[in-house]
Formats: sequence, C-alpha cells, structure tokens
Amino acid sequence: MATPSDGSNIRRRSLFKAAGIGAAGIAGLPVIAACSDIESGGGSTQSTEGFDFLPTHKEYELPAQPDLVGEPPNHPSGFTSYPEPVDGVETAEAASTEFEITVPMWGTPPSADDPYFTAIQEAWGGTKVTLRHADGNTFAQTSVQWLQANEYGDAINMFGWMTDSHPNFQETVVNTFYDLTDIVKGDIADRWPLLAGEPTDSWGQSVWSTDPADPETARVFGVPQNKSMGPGNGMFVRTDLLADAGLSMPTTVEEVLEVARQWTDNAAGKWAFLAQDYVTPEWFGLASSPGWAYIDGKLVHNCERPEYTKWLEFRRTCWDEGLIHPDTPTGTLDGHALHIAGTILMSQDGISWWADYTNKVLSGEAVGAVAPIGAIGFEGAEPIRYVNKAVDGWTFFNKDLSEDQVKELLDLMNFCSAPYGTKEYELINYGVEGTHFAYGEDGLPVFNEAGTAAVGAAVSYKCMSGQVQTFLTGNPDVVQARFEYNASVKDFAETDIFAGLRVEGPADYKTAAQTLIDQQNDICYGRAELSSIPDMVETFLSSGGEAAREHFTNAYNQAQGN
Amino acid sequence: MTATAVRAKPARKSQRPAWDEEPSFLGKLVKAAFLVCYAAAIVLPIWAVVATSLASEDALQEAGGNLLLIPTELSLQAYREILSGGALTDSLLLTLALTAGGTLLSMVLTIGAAYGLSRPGSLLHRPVLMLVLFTFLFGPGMFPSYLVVQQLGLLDTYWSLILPSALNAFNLIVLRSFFMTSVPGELIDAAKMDGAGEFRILFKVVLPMSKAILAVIALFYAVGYWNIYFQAVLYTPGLETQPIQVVLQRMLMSTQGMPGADIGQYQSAEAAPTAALKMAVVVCTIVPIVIMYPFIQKHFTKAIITGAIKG
Amino acid sequence: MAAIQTSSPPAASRAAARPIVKRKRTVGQRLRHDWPLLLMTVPALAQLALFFYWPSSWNIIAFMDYSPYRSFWENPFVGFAWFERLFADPYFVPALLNTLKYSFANLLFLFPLSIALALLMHSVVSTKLRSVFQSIVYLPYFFSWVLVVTIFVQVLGADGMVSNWLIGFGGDRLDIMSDPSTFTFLAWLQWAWKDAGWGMIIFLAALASINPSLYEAAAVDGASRWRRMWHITLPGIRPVIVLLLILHIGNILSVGFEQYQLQREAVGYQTTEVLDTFVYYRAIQTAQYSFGTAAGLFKGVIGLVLILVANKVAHRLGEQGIYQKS
Repeated sequence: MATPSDGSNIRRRSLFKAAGIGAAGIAGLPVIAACSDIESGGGSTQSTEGFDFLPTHKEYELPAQPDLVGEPPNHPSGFTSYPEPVDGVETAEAASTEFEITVPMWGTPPSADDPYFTAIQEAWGGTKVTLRHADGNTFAQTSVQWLQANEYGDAINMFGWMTDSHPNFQETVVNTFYDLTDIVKGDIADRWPLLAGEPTDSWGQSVWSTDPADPETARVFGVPQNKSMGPGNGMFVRTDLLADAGLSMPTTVEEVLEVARQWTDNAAGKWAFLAQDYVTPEWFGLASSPGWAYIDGKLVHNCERPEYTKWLEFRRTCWDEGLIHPDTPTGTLDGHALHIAGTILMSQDGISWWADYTNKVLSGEAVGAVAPIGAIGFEGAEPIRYVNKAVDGWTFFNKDLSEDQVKELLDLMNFCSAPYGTKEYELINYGVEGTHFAYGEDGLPVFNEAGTAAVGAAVSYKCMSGQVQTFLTGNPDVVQARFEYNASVKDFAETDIFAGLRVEGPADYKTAAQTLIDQQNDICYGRAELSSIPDMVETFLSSGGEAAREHFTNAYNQAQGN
Repeated sequence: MTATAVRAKPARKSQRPAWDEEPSFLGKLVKAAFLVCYAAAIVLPIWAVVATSLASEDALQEAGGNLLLIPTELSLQAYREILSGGALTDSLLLTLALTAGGTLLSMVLTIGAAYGLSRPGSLLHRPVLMLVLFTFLFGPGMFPSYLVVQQLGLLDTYWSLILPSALNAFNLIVLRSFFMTSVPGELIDAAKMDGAGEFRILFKVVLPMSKAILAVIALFYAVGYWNIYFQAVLYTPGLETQPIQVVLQRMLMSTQGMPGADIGQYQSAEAAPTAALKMAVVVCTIVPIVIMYPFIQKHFTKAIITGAIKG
Repeated sequence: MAAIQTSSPPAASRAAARPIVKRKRTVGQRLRHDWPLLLMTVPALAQLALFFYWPSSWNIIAFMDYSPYRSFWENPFVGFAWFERLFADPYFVPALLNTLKYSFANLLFLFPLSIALALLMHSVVSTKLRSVFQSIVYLPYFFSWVLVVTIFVQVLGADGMVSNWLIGFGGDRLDIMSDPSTFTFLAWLQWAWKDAGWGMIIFLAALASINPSLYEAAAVDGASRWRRMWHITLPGIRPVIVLLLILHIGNILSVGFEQYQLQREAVGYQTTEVLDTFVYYRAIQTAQYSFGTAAGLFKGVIGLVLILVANKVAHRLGEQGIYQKS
C-alpha cells in the first residue's frame, strides 16, 4: 500500500464513499473475530501456479473472431462490430434444484421476477437461482461476518479487493468454502468446455493452501472471474481543451508540467490537475503495488529510490505553482463533473472513463473528448505503464453442499463463462431482445429503460465466472482508440516480479506504509519539506519496511524459481 | 437593559405574559441580528442543496458539480427519477413502520427502566443502574452482535433492525434524571396516600408532567430508526424491501460500479447520478424530519401549560 | 441524599416526606414494596442482556490469541500483550492528545452555544417564529459528515463561494479548509453548524419544564430579566446541564471518526489523528482486530473512571449527578 494501487482510485472516486466505510469501520471496531496472536500478521505468500490438480486447459473455439487482433494479455483484442450471436453452450439436462447466491450489488437491485431472470433460468435448463443482492458498498465488511457465521446461501461472489477486509482470508477460504479440487481436476472439457477453456493461470489464482508453507496442502477453492487485461487506469486529458489552447498531448513528464503551467489560470478558476496520487508514480518508473522493485540484485522499496524524491518534487512543484485545484486535498470534489465542466484539464481515473465520457458526449451530457496520456518518462528515463495483473474475483461455494449440487452449480458457471459472440453472452449482458434491448443502427445492442434497470448495472451473472477470453467491446470508436492506445503502451507494461504468487505483506509493514502515505501527503500539500524524506524512509524501514524486505525477497525468489 | 417596572401592554396584541417587561430596543435588535445571522448561515447551504436538486442538467454541467444558489432552469427530473420506482415507495412505508414500531418499543423499555430506577434506595437499584451505565463504556462489536442475532433466528427479519438497538442508555439516564428532578415528590407521595400503585403513578402523574422530555427522547429514537443503514446491510440483505437509507445509499453509489473490474467490460449502462439526483436524495431523507418537528414541539408548549396549572 | 433541584419550591418537604426508614427493611419487605419498580426494568434489562452483555463478553479476546476456527476456550491467553503494544505505538500518544484537545474544544464551545441558543430561543415570544427557527436550525444534524464537509468546501473552500467573491474584489483565495493551524477553528464552525441546533433541543425541553409561575412571582417581586435568568432559569436546567456534562466526560475519548478521517488529507494526519482514526488506520486497515479491541477497552476504562470522578465532583458541589450514594 506504500504505492498507489488500483484500490486508491476506488477510495477517491466518490463524494459519498467514505460514509459507508466509516459506518462499517467503526461499527466493527471492538471485536471482529481477530487474527491470531501478536506474532501473527506476518504476511503470507501463496503460490498460484505450477499445480497438477487444475483443470486441463482445452482451447475453446471462439464463435466469432475479433477484427482487431491484439497480443493478450496486455494488449487485448477487440470487436468494432457486433457478431451475430450463436449457441455457445449445449443445453444442460433439465434440473429443478434451487440455489441461493449472494452477490454484491451497486445501484438498485432488479426485481426477482424480472423476465431477465426467468429467461436465464430457462436457458440453462431450469435450475432456479435466487440472487441475494447485497449492498456492494459495504459488501467487503459485511461479508466478513456472513462467511464466519456461514450465512451466505449456497455460493458467494466476491471481488479480489474485498478480501483485504478479511482478517485472514486464507484461513476463511479453507475453512468455509467447498474444496473443488477433486471435481475440477484434469479433463473437464466434456461437461464444462468453457471452464476448461479458461486460462490456467486464472484457475491457479483460485488456489489456497491450508498451510501456505506446505505446497502439498494447496487446493482449488473457487471459480475465477475474468482477468481484466491491459492498463486499468490512466491520466485522462481533455483533448479538445488542449487543442483550443494550442497545446499538444505531452509525451514526457517535462511536457506535462509545461502544458499544466500554460493551461492553468488561477484567477479564472482553471487548473491542470486534480488528484495525482495513483497515476503519476509510473511516470517516474516507481513500482506499482506492493511497491517493490528488483534492482542490482536486491529488492528495493519505492521510497528508497532516487526516483521517489523526484516524484514528490514533481507533485510539490505542481502544488506550489498552483497547478492543482486548491481544494483537491479535501477529497470532496466530484472529479467527473469538474472534468466535464472543463475546470480541470487532466483527471486520473479508471480506464472506463474513456467509454463513459464518450457516451456522455453522445447523449449530450458533455462536450469534447478525453484520452489518456501514454507511457511517459522523466529526464529521458524509460517509461513504464501499470497494467492489470490478477483475476477480478471469484465465486465460492458453500462447503455444506453435496457433490451433485456443486456440479450443477458448475454447469451454471460454465454457462456464465460464454464469450462475446454467443447467445448466452448476449442474454447475460443485455437481456432479452425486445424486452431489455434493441439492436442499434451499428448492430450493437442498446438498452431500453427496462434493460437499464434490470441488466444495466446488475453485477449478477456477468461476473460469476471468467470468460475464455475478454475483449474490448462497445462503442466502435472507443474500442478502436483503446486498441491503438494499448498497442502504443504494451511494450512499456510493467513486468510483475511476483507473477504466480499471491503475496501479503506483514501487518507492521502495512502500518508503516500507511504512515508513509500520510507523510507523502504532507510533502505534496506543503505541510512538510522534501528534506524530511530521509527521515520518513528511515522510519518506514525501521518500523516494518526492513522486515518486509525479507518477506518480499523470499517471495521474489520463489517467483523467479531461485 | 434595566429592570423596568412590570407593565402590561394590553393595547398591543402580544403573546408576552402580562408580568413580563418589554425588552429594550437595543436588546431586541442584538437578539434579532444574531438570530437572523445564525439562521442565514444554516439556511443558505440547505437552500443550496434544495436548489441544486431542482437544477437542470445544463446548469449543473456549467457549475462543474458545485452546488447552486439559484437554479436557472427548474427541473423536477431528479425527483421523478427517485419516485418513479415502486420500490422506493415500499421502502418509505417500511421505514415509517419501523420508525413508529421501533420508537414505541424503545419508549416502553426506556420509560419503564427510567421510572424503575428513579427511586434511589429501592431494591437492587444500584447494581441495575450500574448495568445500564456500563453500556456507555464499550461496544459489543460487529461479529459478536451478528452471532447473537443469528442465534436468536432474527437474520433476514425486520426484528433484527429494531431489537438490537431498542434501548439507548443515554436516553434512559436523561429521562430518569428528569423523573427525579422535575416531577415534584409531593405529588407522588400524595398519589401514594390515595392508594395508587407505581404503575398508576407513572401513567397518571409522572408521564403527563414529562411530555416535553418524552417528546425529545421519542425524537432521538425515531431519528435513529429512520437512519438505519448498516444494520440492514449486515442483517437483512435477503429482504426484498429495504429501509430507505439503504435504497438511497445504493442510488447514490450506483455508478461507483464494481471497483477493481473494468466496468466497460460489463456494459454498465446506468446513467451517472447527477448532482441534482444526489441532492434530491438528501432532501428526501430530511423532509420527514422537517414534518416531524412541529409534533414534537407541540409538547414543549403543552408542558408549560401543565406546569402552569400545577403551579 | 443530595439536594434535589426541582422546579417546585418546597424541596425540603419532599425530602422529609420520604420514608428514610426504608433501608432498614428486610429484603423480603423491600421486594414486596419495590416489585413494581423492578418489574418495570425487566424488559430493558432483558434487552441489555441479550444485545449488549452477551455479545460484549467477546471483548475477552483482547487478552487472547484468538482464532475463529478453534473452539473458544482453546484460544490461549496472551495477557496484556495487545495493550503493551498499544501504549508502545509512537502514534498512540499524539492521537490521545489530539482526542483530548478536540473533545475539550467541543465541550467548552458547543455546550455553552447550545445552552445560549436554547435560552435565546426560549426568550423569543412569538411561537410562530420560534417554531420556524427551531425546525430549521436542527436540520444540519441529519446531514452526514461527508455532506457537511462538502458544503464547507463549497462555501469556504479555495474555489468556494466566498473565495470567488473575494477574487472578484481582487482579493486572495481562502485556505481555511486546508490549513492545519486553523483546524480547531474550522472544527468549531463545523460543530456550530451541524450540532448546535440539535444540542439546543434537550435544553429547550428542560426549559419547558420550568414552572412559569416562578417567573411571574419573581417579576412581581421586581426581579429583572437577568436576575430571573440567573435565579430561576439556570437553576432550573442545572441538573440537566450537569448530567449531560458527566455523560459527555465519559465519552471524552470518542470524538467521532468521519469528520477527522475526511479531512485527514486536507490538513494532515498529525492534526486529525484521533483515537478512532488511529484504530482505523493502524488496526482495522491492517486487519489486526484484537489490537482494535484492546484500544476499545482502553477507551471504555478511561470513560468509566472519568464518569465516576465527574459524578463524585458533582456530588461535592451538591448536584445529583447520574446516581447518588443512597
């Protein structure tokens, strides 16, 4: 957590976000079943590859070939047109079992008797599933109690970042969920061709060990979701405003600073930047979360590197020169609205802001266009670009289920894995033609009001399990632009030095990292001086950083096979 | 302000009691100025919230997500959006029922205990009071509370939203203190002489004299039930109709989407809530509170009248 | 028995009327006499037993090496290890000091303000005006802290209404929202805006229970407005003030969470770190919940001590307090 991660963009995104966190955090203060003893919180390292008990990978033949062919994983392929959907799954035997699955839900949950659910039930052969749409904002915290009390129905859908809220997720997994190993081991392509077609490393990320130190105890405990590919976020620039000011897209950090200086007009209430925390470190070559890099035969934390000082110098310069919206540190500003209004030129955001902004322009809610800054470096250094590394999450089954029930649930997971271009994909992602959507002029499905309400925001079946391959889809212009962008940055994609491992740092280290972030903010917003960096680093290392180096070094050696 | 002679001003129609002197002009001016400033400082931001909830999309876009003081073009779109779904109406009714039922139960528990503990020296008075006071000191925590609710079989029932928070020790202590200090002992003793039991004394003597504080405490409880949020997401995720705060919170957060996943991949179609929608949601949660207050306040004046009769 | 503050003058007669012999009775006699009182407390006690004491017994894991996947008594005790860790934490003392600072700032400011507002409101003669005013000033209490901070940024922020107005006159932007040195003042403004109106209500209720005939009698005797306030109004609400003060003091280590957490980045962690945020950042975020439990117990013990001390002081001053030596 010492470095900005994908997670921080979540925290910042909303005006109202902290309300939920506050309620959950403090309500839970005194006793949530705690982690073990004082020596605990030592962190863990879980291998996620090299297993002989995963499903044997069997290539699933895609029903439609993407017209933009990339180089997955960091440069996914894309569709600029909508393929005629075909059957992707053989209809399973008729079944009448009932299941209850808990899923996180942002937005208003659709009614349980919406035609969307009945159509899906019919399509997969009659199994009745009741989705418990639990509030997504508090899901991470509330699920801690549900899992420990075994109160989540027959299965639960969780995103990877939610596991951070669990005191000891590894222990929770091995004690609470169904061990799928014996069922999914080996060749499963006959019954579940789509699950067999999922990348082996996705399945590998569903492995937990009863004893993480003993490789013999590793087992498969969940069905992996999609693995998002390519860059997950970026610094978006209003290209129209840039052009109006006679400026061009910056290609180095120095140019970014120059553009910011020219564009900012304090008296007129125009600033180049809002928040900068999680996108700017890559401009200086700093490592993404967890913030360790392998340099000269040794693991080095970001804060120990000279680039760290340069990064903070850059942010402090931006603040001192008034290039950042002066209310940024209050964290209450609506970045999207300010970007649309043209109050700020550049906004760090999730990659989907590209498509969202374009949709807003099409519907008349915004003008102009946005595009993310490419891979840029400082003082001529080789740039790096952060990319998504892990599966989005998992669906876990209750350990009290029978083997037959689990197999039937896997049938449903198989159904939900259908890729772009299948009827199943269309049904799950757009609903029923005529009821929820109609085909637009370019052949793409367009939601009507009922579709927006029932299918638009619902997580439900869309991320129960991972697709064989994920693609760039949606508005053809955005797909094209994203495809080209990914092509331009793929060579700079950061290599994951812990590939094939799930590493959790010791608790002391996490605490020290939080202090480091607080002190970083002090420097960035003028409350402390750059000269205090050596002290900060000293404190960080002595209060947990140095001990963590050993932990991460062991993980590194394991990852590199030393 | 000097002490002027008591003079009634029958010529002017005033609610000022006859014995009260008219304050000096300066005093009135200072008071008025303070009250106006204070009220303005409170009202203007609230007005900005209301104005923003009524603003059109264009006006909001121009404001860049800021609050507006004057909505240039009025639009009821935000309210239409909130009130169009039947779910919201159900949720409002449910929350009203929870608030009414919960407040009633809480008042029964609180009044009973407050009166029961209002006689120092009665049997077990001190240990019981200590048991109440201890609840100030630490909380039971989320997971143990969850286990209790689970073991009592209350999960996914509306009881789990009322029972765990039915008693507030602060309210209990405040009410008990009122019973002890503001109800004259001789009235109670007189009632006892007449052969009245404790229950009769409570209902006939003590409660009628404590209307103001009862109203305040009922308000405290009602507000608590009206604002139920976290209990509902924790205890009753399986229920179709959820308390209003859950519905509204979900509405506010709807496009926060699925953090950690590429939302574009899942064809997120729901329009982002505008600043107008967010503020309309805020307005919806406080309107019932505005409506509630006059009922509470009525009891303030009633208590004065009771006092006057008594005097 | 402590003096009883009452709106009716003959306090002495009441004390005399009380049967002091009561205490000499046997338990059986007392039970026969007091059973209705006990019966009335039973529902409340049942609620506390079920939803407070039963789950609260889990606090014992603050002394344990606890794992939910062992049976409860198999968890070994670790004594005060978590507490030692708490006191050894270099950020604990600053957080404690900040907590006390804001707690006292709140107490010394918000309390008098709420009372003053209540008195002022009480002196407004027109019921209509009073009613409108009251129902407005307590509304901000229902706004979440997120909304309150947002509104403050909109009004007092560097790009807020006041700043832009100043800019229009050629002035500078305000930076009160992100200036650590004025944070206490900012907190005052936020409390005054959000909580003062709500705090006023309970005092208004206390004022409403003062017998108006006392005022009349005093006025007839020639007591001025100020003298009446001093000799009738304030004594009338004094028990309430003392009671609320004691309860406040017991909660002195709980200053809230959101207000500080939300403004942490704006004014820095050194200014906004209070015990609740300390626990959040150092225990909850790192999933060390036993640590959080220990901190919660520490707060509880301090709160208990403070309540007992405050209550004792109140007795010495002739007030009733929360409970009295019977």
